[in-house]
Amino acid sequence: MIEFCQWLQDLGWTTALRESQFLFPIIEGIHLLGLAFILGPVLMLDFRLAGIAWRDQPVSRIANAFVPYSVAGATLMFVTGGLLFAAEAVRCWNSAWFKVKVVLLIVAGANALYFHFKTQRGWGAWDTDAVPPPAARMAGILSIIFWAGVVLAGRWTAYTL
Amino acid sequence: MNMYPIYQWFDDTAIGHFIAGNTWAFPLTETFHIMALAVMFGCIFLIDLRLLGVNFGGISHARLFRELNRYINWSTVIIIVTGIMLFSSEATKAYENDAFRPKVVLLILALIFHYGVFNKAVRNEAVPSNAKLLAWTSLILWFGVGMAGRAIGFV
Repeated sequence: MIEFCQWLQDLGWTTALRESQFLFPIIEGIHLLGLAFILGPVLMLDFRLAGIAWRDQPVSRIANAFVPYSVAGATLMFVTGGLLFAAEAVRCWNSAWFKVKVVLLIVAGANALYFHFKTQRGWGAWDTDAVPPPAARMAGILSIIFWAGVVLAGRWTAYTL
Repeated sequence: MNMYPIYQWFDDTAIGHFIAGNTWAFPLTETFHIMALAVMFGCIFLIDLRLLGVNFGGISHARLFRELNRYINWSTVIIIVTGIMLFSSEATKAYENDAFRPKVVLLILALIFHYGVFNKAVRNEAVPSNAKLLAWTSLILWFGVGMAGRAIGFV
């Protein structure tokens, strides 16, 4: 894996990106602000599931209204994050925080998929409940915690790089 | 006017000394700063997109505002408190930083715009006549604050 990282960051364009004075920080700035783009929509559903906000709206309405846009946010984050990783692949790979971040992203994704394909199936019964049943509430609360962890680990990756 | 003594005063506060002298305090405070920023910017961003014509399942901009305003307000409080804490730990360093003052100026402009203009305009059900201008101004100001903030760590 480390050989792959070395190869990746030694490419012409990744080397140029790493050594660029403005491009790297600009992409990092977009990556940071892209957080709003993904967390805005994601938190709306999480808050609804946790029973914190949108309590008078059906869960299905909140999910359908916001979740599709989180895909656009996720795409932006993957593209900018991928570019940053390619430029600093070896240091990322050697960073414990980076690994924590990747694991948390996978766990957050798994939590979202589990909700989508399993828990959400039964939502006909509790769609309009102000506070959804424990399994759904747990999905929302876990998502908030995992995403907070992603942000924390991401910030500390940048710190220790 | 020489502002340096004000920066020095912040450097000398107890909270400034505590954060500067403690390895974990700065990154931990900054984590809260950034998480609150993500929530605040995320909420404002949704209202901006709605004003620009993105249809969130028929949920109006005013309904979004009513639901999200308290999160925006609380996040803003957290951002300002943690921001002052971070600043106090390295105020004289911030004085030397070329990105710090542009960020503060942009932040003040963004706050004045948000609480003086934006909030009043999006509160009502009727779509404001200058909806697109409001949304773009909001996006550009907050994006500018974020970029200038990130730049502090780079220059």
